[in-house]
Amino acid sequence: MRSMLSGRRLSWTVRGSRIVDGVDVDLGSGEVVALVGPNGAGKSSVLRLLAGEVEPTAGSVELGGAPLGRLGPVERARRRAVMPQDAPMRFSFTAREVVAMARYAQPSRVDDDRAVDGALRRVGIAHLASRTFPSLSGGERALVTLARVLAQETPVLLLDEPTASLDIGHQEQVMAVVRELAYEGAAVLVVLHDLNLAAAHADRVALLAGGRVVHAGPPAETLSAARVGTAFGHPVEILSGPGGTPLIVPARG
Amino acid sequence: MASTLRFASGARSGTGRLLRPVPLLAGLLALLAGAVLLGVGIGAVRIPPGDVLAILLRHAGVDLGVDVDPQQDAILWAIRLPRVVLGALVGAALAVCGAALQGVFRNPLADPGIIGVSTGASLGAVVAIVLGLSGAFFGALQLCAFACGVLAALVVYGLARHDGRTEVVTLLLTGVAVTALVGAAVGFLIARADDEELRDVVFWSLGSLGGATWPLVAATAPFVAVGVAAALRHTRELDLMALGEREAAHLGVDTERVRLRLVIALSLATGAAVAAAGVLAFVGLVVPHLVRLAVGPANRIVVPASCIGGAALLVLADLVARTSVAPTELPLGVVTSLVGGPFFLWLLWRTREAHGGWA
Amino acid sequence: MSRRAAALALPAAFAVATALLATSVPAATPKRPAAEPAPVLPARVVDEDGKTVVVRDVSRIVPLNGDIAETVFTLGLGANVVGVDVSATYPAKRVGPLPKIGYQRTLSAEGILSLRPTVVIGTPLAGPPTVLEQLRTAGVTVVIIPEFKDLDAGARKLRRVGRALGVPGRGERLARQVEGQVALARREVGRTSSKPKVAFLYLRGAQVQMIGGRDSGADALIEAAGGQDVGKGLGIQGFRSLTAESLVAAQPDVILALTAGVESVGGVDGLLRLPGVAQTPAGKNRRIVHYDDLLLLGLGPRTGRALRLLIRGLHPEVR
Repeated sequence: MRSMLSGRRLSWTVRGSRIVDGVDVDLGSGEVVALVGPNGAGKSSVLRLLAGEVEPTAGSVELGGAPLGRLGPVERARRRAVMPQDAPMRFSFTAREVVAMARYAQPSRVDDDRAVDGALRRVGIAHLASRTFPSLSGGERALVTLARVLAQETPVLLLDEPTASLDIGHQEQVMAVVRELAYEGAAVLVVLHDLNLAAAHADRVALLAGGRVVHAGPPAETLSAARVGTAFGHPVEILSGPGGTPLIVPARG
Repeated sequence: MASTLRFASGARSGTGRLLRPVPLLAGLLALLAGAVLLGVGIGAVRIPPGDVLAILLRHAGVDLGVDVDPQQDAILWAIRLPRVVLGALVGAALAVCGAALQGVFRNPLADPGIIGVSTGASLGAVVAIVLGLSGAFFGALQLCAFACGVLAALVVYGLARHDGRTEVVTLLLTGVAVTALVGAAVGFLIARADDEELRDVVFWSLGSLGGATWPLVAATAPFVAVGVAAALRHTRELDLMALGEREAAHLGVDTERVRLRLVIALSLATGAAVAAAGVLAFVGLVVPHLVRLAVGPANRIVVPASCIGGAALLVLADLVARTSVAPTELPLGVVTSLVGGPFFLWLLWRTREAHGGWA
Repeated sequence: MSRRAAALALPAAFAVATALLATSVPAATPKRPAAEPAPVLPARVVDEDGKTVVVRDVSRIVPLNGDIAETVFTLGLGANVVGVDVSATYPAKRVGPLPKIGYQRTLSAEGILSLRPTVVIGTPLAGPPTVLEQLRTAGVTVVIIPEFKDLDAGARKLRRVGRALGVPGRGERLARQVEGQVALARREVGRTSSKPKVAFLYLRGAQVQMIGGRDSGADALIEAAGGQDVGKGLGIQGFRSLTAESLVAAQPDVILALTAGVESVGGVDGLLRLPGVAQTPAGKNRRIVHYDDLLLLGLGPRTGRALRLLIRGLHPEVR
């Protein structure tokens, strides 16, 4: 398995407080890695460091074998796509126009229509193509943003809570698309709030707490009752779901 | 008309766009052509259309053999035509700068004044008037206004820059602060000014194209061209910046560089426009909005359409300014605000009805 | 009574011209008062910029400033005036119906050209400069005479404008009359026994209160009338805004204002209610004098009359 994106001993300190503390990440082609952890664990910060949006205080990031710092914005955009948590948009672009923006870094415009229409269809929102972005519901916007990320056609995808504002049906649909992309060879790092989604769809799960990686490994290994309970500060029970997938439920009573 | 527009732009009617890009651009070009013809043909001095044509052709090197009054020739060629051309240049500059800055700042309320150019230019003009430089040589006032306008924008940009990066909000707020400071300096000078100087300052700040000459047109045109060219060149980046700073960068836009380039080029264009015609409110705000209303926010269309529309609008506004109370003139800024203010209110109201906020 | 006397003392030519034309609407075709000889043209004058200007036709005149308009009318060429700026208010019956070309500093070239003037005449106050240049380009003769700010201004303007418009003899004669009136008035100052402190206030509503100083246009008159210009004493150049406290501190005996300014604050009673005014000797004794803009500040042909009025306003002892 080829490493597509790696972060070595990544640390990020903001005004004296250490947000990310010595995190190692390795993302190979064809795998889905989920980043989970309680609020404030540093999940999104790790993603921002890997995306090159902020400079790590210490450590380094390599994207497709090249140090991230050496790559210009266009080079980066051809190698990785980033899906943000929120999608603010002030102007009434249509969904299709928003998705087409993903094609900015492409050297040629030839494949644009194919890529954009393909992405819209894959996410199941072809019918929304001519609707204006501000007129869409929160869930629809998230899907359009996912389609935008797909239309970028990059080997690496960094997704920050892509399922946050979606109902169960759409959550499953999105994770199915993510799995499919990995099957086609993409390397996907996805920040997830929902431990069960991580358990069901990720190849590996990295559990973060206090800016450090508590454990990284296959879902069943990482998501043990003890680790999750400690990390989240709340006891959990691990049940066995369909197909042997661990099912995490908070201990109640 | 309002209700029709609102109905047509309802969320269910597809894109909510009233016009296709090509008809819009064609329509605007026709409007500009019409505005220029009217602007050249109508004025306080009546010149028959046939003579207008003969005079224009004669200057283009075609002699129709028509006998034209040399005074009419001078009026048309030395007064009216440079005025119409300057109006088109200034209108294009303001509208394009408004469109592009609204994109750069992701703020629909951005106008060319937002980065301090207008107040900076005002300071330059007031300095020139109060220190008596304006009488020193032709164009001294314009030069002062232009220099101070561009300088103010660079100061804003320089102050907002931190670690080689510029936050949009910081930039906006720095603009507000510098504008206030420069405004204070203007106020101080105005308090020191005597009656005549005061009149000059007020007159200048109300805006006018009355000072149009061919040399002024020639001095303004290159800067306007730089601004328009920069905006046209970066329409795609402007689209992406609507997603936000971070998103645009993720998609491959060198946001810092594009913004610096645009801010410099647009400051030059706005500075030149304000120096040539004074402060003209609402052109930069209203024209891009109108265009977006018609064809949506894609800057590939919005920028050129604003360019043509802004030119047409200002030529028409100036026509009103110089003919409605002839032989006197209305200040051009009064006309643009008179048209722009109510229109802007309508726009606000309509947007609130349709989307519950800015779209 | 004194006003009527002063009016009677106005130049004879002007009286004749007014009598002839006061009731008639300005005619489209220019005509001259029968009593006066026609202007001698072409006239050559040296412009303010040092260039020689040749005036060939004075059949359609546009004076660019109010004082110049008054001077042109005084010279008996009022019938040839085809438009004036908004500061031209005298003679009111004559300039009232004429087309207005805007304010002297914010002129519009094409607007002036639409009046088809043969000559445009003004002081360096007229502008913007581009407009004057455009007028020249369009073939209109533009004459700019210097701006005079002293008591001789009225006479000097009559001479200069008279020479430029081809009536040098008339200009000279009227100038001497004005000089005579000014000299007469100056002699009256000798009979005064007080030297009141005068504050010249420029008012435009309760918000705009400025005090005039050196070169306000009124300073020369105030001093010639045996008063003491408070603003000038404070070292003020032109007009500066004024705080109520400094007005009180200056303790003026008389407040001098323009009639339009006094009206803008609600008359003399309104003026007395402005902050600080009541606390001055002028306010306490209701010693407020006000005159028409052009009469007081124009320094035009009526300078002698203005001076006589002001002397009476400042010195109640003179009868």
